[in-house]
This record gives sequence, C-alpha cells and structure tokens, in this order.
Amino acid sequence: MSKKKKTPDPVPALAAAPTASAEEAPREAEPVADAAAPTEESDATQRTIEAVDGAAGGAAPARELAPPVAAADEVATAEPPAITAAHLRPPMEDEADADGSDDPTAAAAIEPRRIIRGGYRPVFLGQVWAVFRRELTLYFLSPMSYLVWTVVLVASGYLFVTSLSDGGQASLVRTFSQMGFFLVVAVPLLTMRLVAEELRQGTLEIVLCEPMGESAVVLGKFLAAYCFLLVLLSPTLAYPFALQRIGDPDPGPIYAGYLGLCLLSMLFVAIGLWTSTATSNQIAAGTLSFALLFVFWLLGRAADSLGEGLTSEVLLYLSAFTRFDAFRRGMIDTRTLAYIFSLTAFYLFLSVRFLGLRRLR
Amino acid sequence: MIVVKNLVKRYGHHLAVDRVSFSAAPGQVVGLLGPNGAGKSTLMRILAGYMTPTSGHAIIKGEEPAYLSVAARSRIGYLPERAALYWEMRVDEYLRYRARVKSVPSKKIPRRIEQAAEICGITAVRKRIIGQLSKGYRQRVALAAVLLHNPGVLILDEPTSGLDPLQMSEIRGLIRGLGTHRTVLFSTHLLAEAQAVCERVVMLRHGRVIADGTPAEIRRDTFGDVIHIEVAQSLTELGQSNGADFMARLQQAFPEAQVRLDVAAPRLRLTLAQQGATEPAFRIALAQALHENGATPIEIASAVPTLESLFTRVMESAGDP
Repeated sequence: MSKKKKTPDPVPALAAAPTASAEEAPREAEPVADAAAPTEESDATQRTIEAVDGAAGGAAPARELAPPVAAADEVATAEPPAITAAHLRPPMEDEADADGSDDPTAAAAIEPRRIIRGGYRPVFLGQVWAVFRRELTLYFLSPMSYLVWTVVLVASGYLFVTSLSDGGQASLVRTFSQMGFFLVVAVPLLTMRLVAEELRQGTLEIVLCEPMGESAVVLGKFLAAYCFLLVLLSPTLAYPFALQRIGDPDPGPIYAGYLGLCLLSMLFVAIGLWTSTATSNQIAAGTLSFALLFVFWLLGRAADSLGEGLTSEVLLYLSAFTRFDAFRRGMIDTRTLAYIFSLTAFYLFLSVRFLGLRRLR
Repeated sequence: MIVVKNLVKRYGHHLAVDRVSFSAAPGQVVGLLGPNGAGKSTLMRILAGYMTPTSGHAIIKGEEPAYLSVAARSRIGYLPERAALYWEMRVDEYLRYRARVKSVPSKKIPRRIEQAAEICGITAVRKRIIGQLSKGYRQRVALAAVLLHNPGVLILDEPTSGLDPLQMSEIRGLIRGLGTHRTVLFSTHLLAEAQAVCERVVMLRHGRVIADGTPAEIRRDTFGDVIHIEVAQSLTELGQSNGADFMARLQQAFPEAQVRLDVAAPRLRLTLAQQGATEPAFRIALAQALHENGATPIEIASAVPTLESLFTRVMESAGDP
C-alpha cells in the first residue's frame, strides 16, 4: 500500500476496483467458498497470488486503490462461487500435446500450410451423431413439433375415415395423396428453424468455428429432421391395420406407398434445410420452402390439366408428386428413385455450400 | 503461437482491419484493446477461422484457420463476443455435445468435462438448464466449452462484457490462470482490464495497430509521465484579466510539457504530461513555478491515464487516417 496516496482522477480509481477484487477475491473468498479447505490449499492460493502479483508488474499501483474489505463483501453476497486456487492452476491433462510441442519456427510461420476452401474436409461420424442428437432432442422439446404432429395426425385421420366412408374401398391411395400434401405444409414448419435460428441467435458462429466440416452439420441436421418426420408419420401405420380389420386391402400399394412417402419426406426435408441455410429469418425460410414444395405439387396439377404433349410430359417428370402417384398405386420405378436421391443430394450439397458462405460474409 | 502478418479485411469500401501485424508467444496473455468498431472482433474472427482475410496472414501454429483447416481449428478455443449457447440444453448435455463436436475421444469426455467445469467453477450447476442460469454462469459455461479439447490457443472476444465487477474479476483471474500454459488473445475496451490481465497489449484504432507493448511501456511511450495539479485559486483569480497568461507562463516554464486545463473554478485543475514528470525534482520545480505565478498548489499527483486519454494521445501521435 505504499504508492497509494492521492489520485485526483476518479476514472482510474473506479476502473481499478475490479482489479483489486481480482487480487483479493481468492484470499478473502476461501472460507466462504469452501470452509473445509485444507491448509495446503490456502498456501497454494497465497503462492498463486504472489505469482500473479509478480506478473502484474505495471498494474501494481492501480490495484491498491480499492479497499480489500469491499472485495470480501462482494464475495459474501455474490451468487457464483469465487475462483479458488484450484481454478487458477492450469490443470488440464496431457498439457504437452496441447501446447506447442510442434516448434513454431520462423519458416513455418512465414510459409503457412494453406488448405484451400472446398478442399478435403473429413466428416467424422461422431460429429454427425452429436449434431443429430442435439437436433432430435430439440424437436422433442419444441412445442412447434407437437403442434404440427397433432394437426397432421388429426387431419389425416379425419380424411382417412371420410375417404373410407365415401369411396367404400379398402385402399390407402387417397390417404397417401392427402398425406403428400400435408408434407408440403408440415415440412417447412419443422425445418425452417434448423439453420436460420442458429444464425439469428449467433450460435452458428460457434458451430462454424468448431473443428468440423459443414457437411457434418448439414448431415446431422438433415438426419434429425428426417427422423423426426418419420416418427411423426409413424402413427399413420395404424391405418393399414385398421383396413385389415374391416376389409382385404392389397398389401403391395401400401408398402410402396409408404416407401414413396418416406422418399418424398427425404427430398422435402433436404429442400427445407436448404431454405433454412439461405436466410436468417425463420419465417422467410419456411415461406420459401413452402413455396418450393407447393410448386412441386402444382407441377403435377398443371401437367394433368395440360393433357398430352411435350410440356406436360416434362412437367410430369419434374413433379415429385406425380412420381409419388406411381408409388401409391404400387409401382416402384427406379427412375423415381434416381430422381429423388439425386435431388436430395443436390439440395444437401447446396445446403453445405450455403452454410460455407455464412462463414465469409 | 499466433502470428498475424499484414492482415487486411475490407467490407466493401470500409477497411475493418488495416495491415495489422503482431505475434503472441506460448504462455503469453495478449490483450487486444480498442474502442468499439476498432476491428477487434473482425481480427479475432479471422483468427478463429470464421472469416477469410482480404489479404495477409493470420497464422496459428503454422496454419491458417481462415482457410478452413479443420486441424488448425482444433487447436483453437474461440469464444465469440456473443457467447451464444443452446438455452434449452442442460449444462452437462451441452458440454458433452461440444466435446463430441470437437472430436474429443469419447473415453476422455467425462474427465474433460469435469476438469473444465471445475476450472470455470460451474460444477454446482452442471445439471441445470442453461437458459435458467445467470449471465455470469452462462459466460463460464461458454468458457468451459472452449476448454474441452484442451486447445493451445485461446481466442476470447470480450469475455467479461456484460458481467458485474465481481464476475469480471473472476473471469480475469481465470484468464490469467489459463494463460500460464497457453497463448491467450483476448479483447476488451477496458484499460484496467488489460492492465490486470495481460503481459502485452495491442491497441487498435480504425483497424490499425497504434501501439504494441506492455501497458506500462505504452503509457510511458505515449504520455511520458502524467501528473495532475490542483491549486487553491481559480483561473480568474490567477489570471488577472484572463487566465491565458497563467497558462502561457506555466507553458513557458516547462516548454516540453503538454499542459491541459481540466477545471477552471473554484480551484484550477491541470493535467501535465512530460517525460520524467513524476520525478520528485520535477515536482519540486513545478511547485516552485506555480508558487512564483501566484498559485498555491494543494495537489501534485502522478496519474494513471484513462483509456480515453491514452487513446486520444496515441491517436494524435499516430495521425488520424
């Protein structure tokens, strides 16, 4: 306390107060934080403080401006525990491998190894799994998913019953077609938050600075959304069983129809994920993916109304729904498989690229 | 080990980082000091691999994270300015998620989480939901997550912003502790914080390095030494017709000093900066000079300059771009 005398400038004095508590807190806090601390502990504290004192050097005069009593009071009333000597020790295991065992020679510093953007980026399954787990958990925690789930199930159940009583056929052809349309509405609601929300909240910066490729992020998120959608659709498996009780449905179209539904969901989730990477606004992402999916649906309608002709044929090829139609009639077309898988891969690729662009800004 | 060489980042016409060069050795805590908008965050984002520079190099242990080397990024612990967390997760879940994402071997994950939680003092809240924690605790959780893969280089962007003074001092203590075996680069706009934590300070303004050295060195280089003077009389009492005479005479007595008028009445207060001004001999001379000019000094004290004054001075000597 030697240099402390008069400092007319109030600003440094105020600013120095936290500094003082940094020095004093561990010492004063010891009994508060851990009353039963062994004596070596407080010795260690003392040593640490001395070391810190030595290191602080130029800061010494500033530190002594605030009374240590204030620091003690703060510790007593504060909510988080004070940092003790144990915290100040750098205690991580295998310190050596973390800290510069590779010699930072001047040559290495001047000629760095540059790995070009878009080059080899390994995808570690552990990372995909981590992202997948987090996203899937989030789906089960989010009220939105339950809302979508309820609406889809209630509406499809209602339409299933009415289609039975109207048509009088033991078939799911109409129900599948309606469920296809539900996907157009439900998928954007489920996927819109995937990346857009992270971008808005700033967590994407952390994600992109992890030692992880964008493809791991995209894959994890895609699989989680897809899985949740499958879970969401799984209660509709009750319909075929119900049909079996009341009639004699043809199993072929039902299997093919479900396969088609799964494939269609896959494509839609990929599209939804991409729109979510394209904007930081969830609503915009949702609207965009709804518009895209709706266009898919419209294409089939337009083709129907155009009748025969080249345009109509092209539209039929492009519409995911027309392809889905074949499935629900019991036909598995390899062209359709190729169509859906390649489009899904395309949108996933786009998502990876768009996520990479988020890094540049 | 951080090396930054001639780093430039341009947003359209705006030059956010302008030919910045500095380096940090292992075991060194380096503070990036500057007002808001000085380019601190941009620089850190480039170092963390979140952005690519327009030109120049930002090298960490011989590799440039900006060019997307996953290996380079695995050696860095980066805490962004907005330490955004997943609020709906529990602390433990979150740390496990981050550890997996960082490819920490699964056998080591529980131990690493335990250690990081202990270092950051969050062991007691490990089962709590992050969204329900106080801001100080959330900051600690974010810091713990950064330590999970045991990085050799820590890049912390304003780790104490928005915390109360006690929490600030705790985080500072933590950073000092971490800095003994790692390279730590952290940014702040508080000079006191930089003084308390760093061995070295790199000052930025308008994207340029305007000073680089220990806090004491910078202070000495830019200010010489600074003393505050208070006299019993007001400026009008001293200055007969106007006070300029008194000021001019004082300046005449100390031609090398930079004298600034702080308060004119009821008692005149001045700030005087000159190399060696805090020496007793100088202060004695000053007291005599004041006395000869009719002023009764009641206070002559050496001062720690505020960040603001330091910046103003450094800016003046560097020249505004």
